Amino acid sequence: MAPYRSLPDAETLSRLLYRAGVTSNGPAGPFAAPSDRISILAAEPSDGPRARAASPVSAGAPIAPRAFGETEHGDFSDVIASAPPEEPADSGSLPTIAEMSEADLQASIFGPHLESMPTEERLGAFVQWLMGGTGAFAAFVADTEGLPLTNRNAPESYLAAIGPLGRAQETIARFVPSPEAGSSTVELDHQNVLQVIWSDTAAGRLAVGLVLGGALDQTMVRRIRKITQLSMSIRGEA
Amino acid sequence: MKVIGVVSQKGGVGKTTVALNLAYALARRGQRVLLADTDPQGGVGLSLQRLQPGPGFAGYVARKLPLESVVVKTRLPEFDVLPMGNIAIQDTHALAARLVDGAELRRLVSDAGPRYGILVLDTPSGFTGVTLGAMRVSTAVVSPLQAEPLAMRSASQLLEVLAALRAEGATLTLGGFLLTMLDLHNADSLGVAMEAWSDLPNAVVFQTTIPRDPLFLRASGAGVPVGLLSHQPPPVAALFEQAAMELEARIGLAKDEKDDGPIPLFA
Repeated sequence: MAPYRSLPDAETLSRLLYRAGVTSNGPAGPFAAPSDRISILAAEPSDGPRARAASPVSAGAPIAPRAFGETEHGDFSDVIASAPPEEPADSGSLPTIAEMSEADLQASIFGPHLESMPTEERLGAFVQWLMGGTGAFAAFVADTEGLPLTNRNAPESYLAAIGPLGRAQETIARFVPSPEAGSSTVELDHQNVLQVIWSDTAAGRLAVGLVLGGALDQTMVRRIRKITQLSMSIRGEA
Repeated sequence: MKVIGVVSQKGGVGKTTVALNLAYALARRGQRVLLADTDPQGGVGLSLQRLQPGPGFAGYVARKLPLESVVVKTRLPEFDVLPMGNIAIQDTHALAARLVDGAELRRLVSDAGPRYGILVLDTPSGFTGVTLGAMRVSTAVVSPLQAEPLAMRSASQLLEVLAALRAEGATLTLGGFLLTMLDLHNADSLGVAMEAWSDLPNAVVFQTTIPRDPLFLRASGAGVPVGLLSHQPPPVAALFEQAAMELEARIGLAKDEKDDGPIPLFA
């Protein structure tokens, strides 16, 4: 078996192909009830992290419709002026985050049910917090090859850049060792940057990518790294 | 009209290349094709030569511009392109929000229906809001499967999403996985292809494979489909014609499936 094999076992795959409408004959025996992954497709959650269903689909947190295209002239610049990219979370302004204790920060992101939250749900809550707390236009968590675990609004070209960035980071670490996994910032245009924060987690090295107006300071970077590690460190229901 | 969503969990797998070249090949075969870019980052527009800035799909959504005013004609009468159009990164979030529930895409399908036989939707990577919206209106999805380690993870993810959408009541089907960037001289690359061929039903894996070939980079640099790299297209261009033929059969667009027997060689 190839070391990178990642299709499920034959029986699970057979059931999956049946449910996906690829095959007309399912495997013998009762089929598993549709998982809670379905609910995320049916409707966006109405409130709080627990309202989100666990899913590899990662539809993400609810996207509040803005007045996009509904301004007098239907012009994008009107929208930018009238609506900021993301409302800061209640507990998420930058100074507050930097000053909060780890326990408070954890509670503000995940609520009281962290240990029972499926990994996907935790990541969804994390990304929602990231966007609210940093004012990012896009945020994602991906592995070192750029395969997203969760993604809100980041274009594929940014995800595709993760592989080369990660390899460069490893090379740099050989010359300039650091106790942390490092971070990288790429200028996108005159206003925005892609900041990638690397974290060594229980699930391996992961990249947190943010598209925002300016690079975050070291305090925020360390906090985000810590929360990334926390998101992946506990075995949830998933 | 058939709606083909080109989707992938992973970025950088050649999705826009597949969407562009497959759409072009379908048009070359006589289908009336509209290639629409639903990626707020506008991958299709970036891939095309001398595409003048215009309102594009963003203008169609935001300003309710008529479809015929935002599509761009190509040298093939059967092939039109609807690029994303100019949109600042700050606005991608708002645009994405408008596409999540599929309503704007359904309007596009409705407007395009009378004029086109096939609508090809290029989508952002990942199964996030916009891509799910595109899948909800799709007749079938085609997923480029990069013949490199980790690819099969994204195959499983797509099957999960398809299952979930069908449980919602969607009727879309899996048009197939199209192996891309295949390097037959590389054991890892070949290993992924072997796994796809052995573990997935034949019906869901295209027989055609797209090799890792510098000509795709050349075509991308030139901003054209590989079939337009020169007046004598390179052999890889024929692969997309072959994939287009396969797709036509898979989605019920083959013009005449009756076996009309051997055709006399001599006049």
